[in-house]
Amino acid sequence: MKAEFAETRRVPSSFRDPCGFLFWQDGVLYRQVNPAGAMDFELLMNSGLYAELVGKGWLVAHEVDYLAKSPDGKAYLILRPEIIPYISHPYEWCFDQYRDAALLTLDITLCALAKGMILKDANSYNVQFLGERPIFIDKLSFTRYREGQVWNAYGQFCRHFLAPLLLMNRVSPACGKMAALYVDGVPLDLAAAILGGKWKWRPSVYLHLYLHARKVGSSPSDKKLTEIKIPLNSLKNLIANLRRLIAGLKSPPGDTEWAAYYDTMLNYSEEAFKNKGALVAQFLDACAAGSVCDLGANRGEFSKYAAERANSHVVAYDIDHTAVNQHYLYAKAKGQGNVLPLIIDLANPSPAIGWANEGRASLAERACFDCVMALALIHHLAISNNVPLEKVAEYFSRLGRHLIIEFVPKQDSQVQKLLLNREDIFENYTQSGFESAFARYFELLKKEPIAGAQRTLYLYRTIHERE
Amino acid sequence: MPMSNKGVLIPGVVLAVFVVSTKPAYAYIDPGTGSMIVQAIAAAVLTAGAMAGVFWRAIKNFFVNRGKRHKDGAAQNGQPADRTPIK
Repeated sequence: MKAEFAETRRVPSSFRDPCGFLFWQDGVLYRQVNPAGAMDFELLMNSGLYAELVGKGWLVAHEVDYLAKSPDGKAYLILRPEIIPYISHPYEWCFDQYRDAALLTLDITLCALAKGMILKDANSYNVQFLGERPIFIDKLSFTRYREGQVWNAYGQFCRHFLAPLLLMNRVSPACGKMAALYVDGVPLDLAAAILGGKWKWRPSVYLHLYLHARKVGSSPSDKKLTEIKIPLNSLKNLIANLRRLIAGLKSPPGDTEWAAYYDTMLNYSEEAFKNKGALVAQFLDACAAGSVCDLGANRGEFSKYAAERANSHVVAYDIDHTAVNQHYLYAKAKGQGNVLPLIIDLANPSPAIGWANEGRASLAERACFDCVMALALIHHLAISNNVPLEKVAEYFSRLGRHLIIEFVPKQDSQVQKLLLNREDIFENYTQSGFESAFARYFELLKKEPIAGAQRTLYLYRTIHERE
Repeated sequence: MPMSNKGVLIPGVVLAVFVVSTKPAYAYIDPGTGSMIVQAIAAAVLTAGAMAGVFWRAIKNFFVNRGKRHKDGAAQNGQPADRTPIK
């Protein structure tokens, strides 16, 4: 996360909870616990819940910082939380990431109930990913549980997790992007309308989605509803039922055009593929890359060269949901720990959303990588998306300090395919055109042809570094 | 806490639901009236379903075990036992 603020600055999305907020000070992230949140915080620590959740790797750890200065002078305590190297948003998650985040939230709620606490909110922004591992980041979400109380966050959980998951599973994985349109979760009546009659026959889906959508729409808002109590065991049954429903959803199938791309290795002999990998590794060493963003990563065939470097973390973006989902499942199985696959359409990257469009940062605002990789990508942007090479260069220069980029010439069979049924209006799409476009924003460090393929690999250093 | 006269009626299932005001302090999000109602309904239905499941399994086990006891009784009277010997 971009964090180099000399002054004190509140995190823009952290303002709703009176129990505390996040702020930056001298480049360090802190969480202020207000007096309003003191009792719940102490209960979290003293009940053993904090130790249990941190021990399981489910909750970020923290240290109390007695020397930090409160921005408003009203702190009960100031904490320094464990840093998440890269903040991702739910609309960038593949189905299995979304599901794992939902299950983590429910598992944490059940653990909390066992220790006399409960989550007072259940939005998808409370979960982040450390590599392939989901982790809960908001320790001010925990509040004391009083026997019989309703779960205040039930509606929010259904909007933020259940509705998108059902839509991604039954309609299309692309529905995950709806989280970008609805900052407090997908409205249940919209989800029910899109799902139509699918699954109405299933009791748990009927209760948590269809009936829920009807009641939310029709319940009178002018009557104060003081009097609903739910016994603890019934609440646990409810949460366990939600968990079973979500855990039982099938992952999407594994074949799309992109997911199969490297299986056929259309443009590389096995040797050329290895040569490219060796060059990528060499260039990564040359720029001492710790944090790497692999754009158009597919299933991570080249992200792994970045991930194998010590003390690295890799964000592997791709447009194809299936490729990202497969990459995520592979990373989970391998337990690598430092690769985060995510979904993005570079022609329309994640926007800044939320109050005053400041709540959730855009891609460019979050990206501050040692190195950006753009392998087998430039022709898709310049030709399929008609983006001039200079604009591609300018945008990439905003994302990182170095760039490893593969130029794919028109003679390449992949580019020939893209031009097959359209007019070739791309006069400037040549090697010299590419080099002069990128020379405006980058300093050339290395340039090597990939032996066995018609492509060239470049290593650049960004000239205009963003602060 | 006083018991309210207003219970929550679930079609076909009547549970005694006690009503108590339990708003936790500083719960900053709006729980939503509809969500609270559905939560109560869903929790009651699912709990009733779980109890029915336990009851049904108990009945099933009773008849299965009864059948086993009947077969063991027949084995003691000289007829072949169904069980393989424990080694």
